[in-house]
Amino acid sequence: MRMVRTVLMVLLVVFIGSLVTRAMQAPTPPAAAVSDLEIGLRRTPLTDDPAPPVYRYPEAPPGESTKLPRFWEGAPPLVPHSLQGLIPITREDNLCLFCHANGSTEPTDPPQVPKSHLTDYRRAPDVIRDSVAGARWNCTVCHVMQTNAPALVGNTYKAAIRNPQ
Amino acid sequence: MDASRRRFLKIGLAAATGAAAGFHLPEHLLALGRAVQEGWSWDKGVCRFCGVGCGIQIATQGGRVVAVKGDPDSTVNRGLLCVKGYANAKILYGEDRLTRPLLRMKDGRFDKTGDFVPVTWAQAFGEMTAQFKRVYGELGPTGVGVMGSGQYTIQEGYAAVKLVKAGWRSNNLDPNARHCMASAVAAFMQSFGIDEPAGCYDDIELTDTVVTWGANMAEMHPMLWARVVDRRLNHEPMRLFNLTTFTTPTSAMADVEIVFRPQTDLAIWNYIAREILRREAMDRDFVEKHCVFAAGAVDIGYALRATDPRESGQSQRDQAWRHWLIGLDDFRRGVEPYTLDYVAELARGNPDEPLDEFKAKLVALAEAYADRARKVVSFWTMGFNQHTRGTWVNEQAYMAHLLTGKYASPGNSAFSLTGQPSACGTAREVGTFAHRLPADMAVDNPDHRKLAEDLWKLPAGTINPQPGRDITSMMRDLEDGRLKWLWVQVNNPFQATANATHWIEAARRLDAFIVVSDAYPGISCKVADLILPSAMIFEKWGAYGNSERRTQMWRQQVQAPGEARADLWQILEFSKRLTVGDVWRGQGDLPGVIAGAESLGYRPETTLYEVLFATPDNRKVVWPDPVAGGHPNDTVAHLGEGWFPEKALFEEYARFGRGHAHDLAPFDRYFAADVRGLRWPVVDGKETVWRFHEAHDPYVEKGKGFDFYGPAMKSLPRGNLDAVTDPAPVSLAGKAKIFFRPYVAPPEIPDAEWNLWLSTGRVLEHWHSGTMTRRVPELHKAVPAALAYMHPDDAETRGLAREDAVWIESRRGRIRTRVETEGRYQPPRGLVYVPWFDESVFINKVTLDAGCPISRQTDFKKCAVKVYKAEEAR
Repeated sequence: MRMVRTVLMVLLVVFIGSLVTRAMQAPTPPAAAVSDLEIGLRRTPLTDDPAPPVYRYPEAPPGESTKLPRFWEGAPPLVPHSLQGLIPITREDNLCLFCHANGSTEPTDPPQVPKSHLTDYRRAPDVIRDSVAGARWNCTVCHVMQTNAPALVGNTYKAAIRNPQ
Repeated sequence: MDASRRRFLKIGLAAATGAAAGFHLPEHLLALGRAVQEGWSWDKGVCRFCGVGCGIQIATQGGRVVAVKGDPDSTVNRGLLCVKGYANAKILYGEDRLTRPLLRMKDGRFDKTGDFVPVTWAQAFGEMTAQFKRVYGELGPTGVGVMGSGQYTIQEGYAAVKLVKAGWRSNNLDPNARHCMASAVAAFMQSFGIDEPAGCYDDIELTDTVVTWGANMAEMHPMLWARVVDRRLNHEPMRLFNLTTFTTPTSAMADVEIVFRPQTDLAIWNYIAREILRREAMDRDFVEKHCVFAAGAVDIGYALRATDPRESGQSQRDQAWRHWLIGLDDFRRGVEPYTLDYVAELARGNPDEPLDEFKAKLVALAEAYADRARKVVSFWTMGFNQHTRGTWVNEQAYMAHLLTGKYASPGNSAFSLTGQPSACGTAREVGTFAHRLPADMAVDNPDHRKLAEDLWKLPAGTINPQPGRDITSMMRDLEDGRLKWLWVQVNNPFQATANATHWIEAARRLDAFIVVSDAYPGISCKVADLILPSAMIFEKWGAYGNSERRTQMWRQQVQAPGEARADLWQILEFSKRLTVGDVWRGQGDLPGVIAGAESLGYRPETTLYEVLFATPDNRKVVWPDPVAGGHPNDTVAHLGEGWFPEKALFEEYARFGRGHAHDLAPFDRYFAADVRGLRWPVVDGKETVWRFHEAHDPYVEKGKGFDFYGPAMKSLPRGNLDAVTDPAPVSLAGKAKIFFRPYVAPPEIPDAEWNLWLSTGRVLEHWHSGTMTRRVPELHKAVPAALAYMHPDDAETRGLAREDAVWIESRRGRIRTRVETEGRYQPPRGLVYVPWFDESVFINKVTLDAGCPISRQTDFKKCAVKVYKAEEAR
């Protein structure tokens, strides 16, 4: 009986809640009509297929570029410099680490991988190694370059970053 | 570490998960000091993108998702994410999110030639219902259809199955997963009698060899590839082979890269099988105890329209599924022609590679499979599945692994990597395919229909015994006027289907009504008549199932913008508009079931919502529920009835699989603080890591060692390589089939005029048709346009330079893009690669809608094109 009463109370609360929700969603007046050309990222008719603009990756070599903002604090930094001649990363060669995991401590030196990257989360999560964890070998899977392409559409995500550095 | 910070972390998580159990981070990492933000609330979730199913932690603050990170407690990815994974928060916030239903109108009424006008949900459902009744009345159940998704949550997919198959008595529900892994499904069913892999991701850390076939894992399954690379760098015997038709980032890590000519993977497998036999490397004991040999129909065509000239002479096109038992001697005769010389000549994909070098690689590959001391994992994805013999080539992988006994044991696995986050969980396990019911059951099996009708409390005979149409056939039906009402959910088929010009024109037929539910407007929205704004992943409750049978769930974190609503709510709400009398009266060959319905207590005016969803049992699963831990549920709020659809429908669905080797855990279990998904079958609270293996799978009969207990297609006639010779069926309970499948040329091959192969595919930074990832500026800027990747010599001989505008033209259409000769893909001479994520580089106008006749999955990896210079200014 007590159970039934509880259920009924819950239903009542939910019902009232839904009335409030509905009241808040009173129909808004019709906005202007939009054609199918005015929606989506593609603004040419589906029958017309022009070539995309030319976009370029940065030409500045490592050391001559400025840092880019992150997705959010703690997200992987974007690559602000050219990777010409530095990729692909192979089993033998990882030129990213040559600069970014060389133990440097000078503030003017390239940013160094954080200790998380020297940790094997799968096998030994409490040990800091002296080399980058194997699972993190493919740097460009997280750290991507940016072309000069403008954003296709705005994004209202707010990147709660306290310290841009 | 700062004690107050530690306290905060614990409290923050405890609040989010409703439990005080710890979230494990190494002490020194906490000490590193990525401080938990004041007011951030963290909860566990799963990545929205590929089939790997990485565990993530989601932070919310003030009603918005503020951050995402890899979940260190997830064994899938151990705290790591790829760049797309980090974008899980930002995909929610593109400025052109759809927030209101949009209907094409003129003068205040629906008009197919009108522009899109915002309408209320009531108006939207009103027009949708009127159009549904018009078409259903004219054409019956086959005239309506739903194109669903491997990105549906499990509950959305289950609701769609129930609405379409039980409600409308139509089987025209097919997911975009048809384009993704239908071939894998067909091969599992034919080889094992049950769907989904024996092994799991754990095999990576236990193997000595990974062979990738038609899988650019480095970009498409990046966090699994991270595990492969880790194994390669830390386990000395480990070797990586990459079989591909062009060089990709996966090649960069491989010990051996084998570039083969498109379609000749079929021949390479037979060479491997021939070598296994020739070297006496067959595991006789395993094969004799657990396997049989099989062969099947060959002239089965290419799943083109029957009127296509390439289908003429394909005498077995209606018997593509047919197969029969053969002997080891037959099998041996089948593979005998596939000598090293023959296969090397046929399969060499890079004309600039010396034949001897190519041969040496094939020999090394065969040795890896044949070496008894070497454990082997084969991974494949779209290169196999999107293939005019996709089912066969999947079966060939099992063939080599079964012959050598390297299957279903730790470190030995043949594993189909799924593309989508719930291709397994929803499309396959729930059964959103046109021929399926939940838990591997099929609509054309009377026992399965009866079981489903009983579980669903439906009148006998409700479920239509005629399988529905696959997604490409639905497009053809739309063009032919045989299907006139279509609802697209959680996918973008008008961009994603090959030979696209036909389908975008078909959508605009005046008598067709197209509804598209989406979060952002893509090409499918552009050709729609009604657009419904959908909630995205963390704006609703849901569950996904990844490639390794792992079911993972999440709670709603934030509210959807404007009037956007979860797809589940849309299905439930639409079901209120249709009654038993509207859809159960019978039509054509399909008898009515009204009398049966009345005997069950339904009346003609009872709505499908009452019959299928808000059943007395389901209404007992009430909201609020302690599992929510304070999280909202807007599906409940908008339904306004106090039952908890995501939980009720999951528990109802789980009844299909429990006790039938598809056991799922109770709903609440997936939300426990110490659970990061569970691999089914979950029996007595324990997940199953390796199926079919006595030591690991509770369904294996004790003493058998291995047991391939899948029940489907386990009674076959006997024959030879060409035909059945003894039609009396033989039982092969408990056994797996080793298929012989020959090399067959593809339907379109480059010639003097159409002189390049075209392959399409994805890139790391973008997901499918780009509707989400292209709204994240960092991902867009990383890869802003789909380019034509080609060999510098191929460019030069056509008078082309890097960045030149070019036409890519096939017999079906042409589009423009730009030449890239230095990018991350290096095709051999003779092949051009164009990704398909870019709606402005509409490459599916060019591709061919041929596919595997068994799985009905399209081959997006090979057709013939020419490339020539385009005018620069338009």
